[in-house]
Amino acid sequence: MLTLAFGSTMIRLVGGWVTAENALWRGLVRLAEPTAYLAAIGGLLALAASIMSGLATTWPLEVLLTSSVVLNKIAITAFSATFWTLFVAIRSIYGARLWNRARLRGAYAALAAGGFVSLMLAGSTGGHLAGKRSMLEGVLHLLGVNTHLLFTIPAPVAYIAMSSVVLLVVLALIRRALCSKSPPRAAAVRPDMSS
Amino acid sequence: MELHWTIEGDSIYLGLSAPTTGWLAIGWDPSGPIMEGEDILIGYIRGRELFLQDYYANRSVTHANDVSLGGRDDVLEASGTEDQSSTTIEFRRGLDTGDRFDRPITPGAHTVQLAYAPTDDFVTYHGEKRTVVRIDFFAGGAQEAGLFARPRALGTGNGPLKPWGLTVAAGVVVIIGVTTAYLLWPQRDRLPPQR
Repeated sequence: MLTLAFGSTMIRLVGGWVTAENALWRGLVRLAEPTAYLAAIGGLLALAASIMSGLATTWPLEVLLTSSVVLNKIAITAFSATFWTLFVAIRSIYGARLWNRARLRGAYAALAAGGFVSLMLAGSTGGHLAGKRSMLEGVLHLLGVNTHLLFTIPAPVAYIAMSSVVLLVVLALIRRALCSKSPPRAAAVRPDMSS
Repeated sequence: MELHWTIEGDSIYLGLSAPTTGWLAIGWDPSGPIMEGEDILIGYIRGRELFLQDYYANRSVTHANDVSLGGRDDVLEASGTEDQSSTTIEFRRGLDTGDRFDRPITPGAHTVQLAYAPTDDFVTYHGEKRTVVRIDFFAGGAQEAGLFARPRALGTGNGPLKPWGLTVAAGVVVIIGVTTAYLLWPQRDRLPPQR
C-alpha cells in the first residue's frame, strides 16, 4: 500500500507539470491525490501491525536484538515509519491544498520518496534475514553497503546531528516569529505616488 | 523433546524424539550470534521415508546444507519412525568428521540447541519449541543453558545496542527536524524588509 502511495504521489506530482488532453491521464492525476493519502494511512497501519507481529511472533525479542541484520532492519523500518507518518500528518493538516504550494508539494513528494526508498531497503534486509537473495543485493554491494554489519554512527556524531537539527528548528521558529511581526515586504514597498 | 546418545568408538549415536510430525533438529557449538556457526542435523519423516540432512548455521538465524556450502553430508546411517503425534529420528556420525562445516564432539560441555516444528518445511520457524542445554556427551547429563547462547558481541558492557539506539534516535530526529524546519522556514516574500 505504501508503494501505491508513493506511485500515486509521483503521478500527482508529474501531473502538475505534464498536462494532457487525454481524459485517462487527467482522471489518473485527479484520483492519485486521495489515493496517495488513503494508501499511506492504510500502509502505515499495516506497517505498524507488521512491526508488532514481527516483534511478537518471530524470534523472541532478546534473540532479535542479538542479530545485526535484525537491528538494521528495525532501524530502517523506524526511518520509513517516520517518513510516512510525516507524509500523512502533512496531508491531514494542509489537505489537498498542499498541491497548490510549491514548498509543501516538494516536502510531500520528498517524504514519499524517502519512505519508499527506506521501505525498499527494509525489505531487502528482510530478504537477507530469510536467507534469500534480494534483488537489491547487487546494487547495495556496488555502493559498499553491507547489510550484515550493524550500522551505527559514533555517539558524538549522533549528538551533534540531533543538536544541529533542534537548533535549526529553533532558528526557523525565531525567523518565523520575526516575519510575522514585520509587515510583508510587498506591503513595505513605497506606494507609487506618480498617479 | 527428548535426546539420547551413545558413544561407540569414534562415532556417536544420537536419538531425537518430539511430539510433532514436522521436523526435528539438534545443533551444537554455535559461535553466535544466536545459531551462527552451529553444526546442525535436521530431519523429518514423510510417508515412510526419512529425510535427514547435515546442516550448518551460516548466519545467525538461517542455516544451509553442508553440501551446498562446499562441505559433506556426514550422516553415516539413520532411521526414524513417525506416528500421528510424534517423530523419532536416530542417526550415527563421526565424533570428528573433519568437515569444516561440522563441529567435533569432544570431552567437555557443549552448548546444544534442540528444536522442532509442526511441518516438514525446514524454513518453518520452530517458535517456542526449542531449548538450549549444556551437555558433556562423554560424561552424560544435561543442564539448562537459558534461551539461546549469548553472542560474544553482547556479552560485554552495553554491546552494540546503545550506539544502535542512538543511531536510530538520531535518524528519526533528523528526519522530523529537517522536515519541520523546512516547513517553518519563512518564505522569501514574507521576510522583513531590508534597510
